[in-house]
Amino acid sequence: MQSRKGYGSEFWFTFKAKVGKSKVRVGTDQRIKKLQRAADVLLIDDNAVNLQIASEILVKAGANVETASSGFEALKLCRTKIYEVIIMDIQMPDMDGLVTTEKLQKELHIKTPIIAMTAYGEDKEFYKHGFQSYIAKPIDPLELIETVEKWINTDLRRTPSKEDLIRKEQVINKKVIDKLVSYGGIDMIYQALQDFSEELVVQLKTLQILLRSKQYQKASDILHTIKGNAGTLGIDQIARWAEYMETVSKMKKYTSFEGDLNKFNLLFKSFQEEAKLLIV
Amino acid sequence: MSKKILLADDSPVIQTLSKKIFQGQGYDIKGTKTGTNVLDEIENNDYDVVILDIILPGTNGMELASQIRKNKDPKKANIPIIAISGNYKNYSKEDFDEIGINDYLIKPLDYDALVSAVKKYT
Repeated sequence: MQSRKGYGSEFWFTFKAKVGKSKVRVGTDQRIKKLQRAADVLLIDDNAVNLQIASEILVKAGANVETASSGFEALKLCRTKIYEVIIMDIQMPDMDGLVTTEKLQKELHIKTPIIAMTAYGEDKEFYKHGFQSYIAKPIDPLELIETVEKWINTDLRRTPSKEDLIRKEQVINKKVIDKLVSYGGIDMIYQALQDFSEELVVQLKTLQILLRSKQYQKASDILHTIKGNAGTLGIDQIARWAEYMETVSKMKKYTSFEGDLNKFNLLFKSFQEEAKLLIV
Repeated sequence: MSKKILLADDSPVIQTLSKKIFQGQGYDIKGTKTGTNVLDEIENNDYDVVILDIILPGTNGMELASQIRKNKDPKKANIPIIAISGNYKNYSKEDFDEIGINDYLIKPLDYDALVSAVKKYT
């Protein structure tokens, strides 16, 4: 090892490894399967070539892909957008994949499944650090697509494990509810949550009609109203999801709205379950 | 006698919360979900403060505020107006000042802020 103060250290090491089979054959189209729907995927890797390969595979499979070349960049992107799947390289300079994942989950409270991507093999440490899955490098296109497919379909719908329940972020922010209760009592909250639910049932149906007929401005107005109401009641996850959909809707090109509406309905169900417990 | 609030907001959630919360604070509050009857309400009653959603079905909140300020009765023309809205992108602070809106809050509503704004003007 050689070190220079202020400049860092250089390490050398030798290890025995099996020669890996190169699996990347991007050009062969029979290895590209189409995703069931366009999912929003964030890819994070400091290596530009890896980033491009993985990105091309997923774009061909029909995903909306965004890329980040560092953990910092990923954090920045995740502050303003909710992705459906995040694929993260483990070895990155400055902030590695493990630290980035912890920050995403503990600081930004992101619930998106995060998949580790590394050449060093599967490691139980990944799961302790909050990763949900793992894919090996070099990337196998089919494996990559199938992993994304699996997580866009199981996200929120999968039966939560005990660990998930502990880690699970609540849809309703209890602090806001408590404050409102101290002002107006529990009956007022009961009524307001009921109002919110009844209105949301209608709003979600209207949204589907508007988005299907590409009436993006009207759709974003409704999403805006939902965001305000949900935020006032401390239904933070619904407020954030409405905000995300409003942002996309304003761009006048919303290809993944069916999936996003499904997710909205699932959030609504989680909200109703939590609301029941709140009343009791 | 209790001070009177007129609340114009089309959101049932905001209506439910505001009515109960301001009643709890000793106010007499009346709600309307459209902009169309706001001016009549003010004409026929003595309100001490108006809480106005900017985006309302019927007449827009900005238009209503400027109509209120044109009332012939100086007492009614000077009713304190608190604007609440989820979106101020279309309007600047200058627009609110020009119309004579006294205070404005952004949704999601923080009731600590709304209650203290109302108390400030009553």
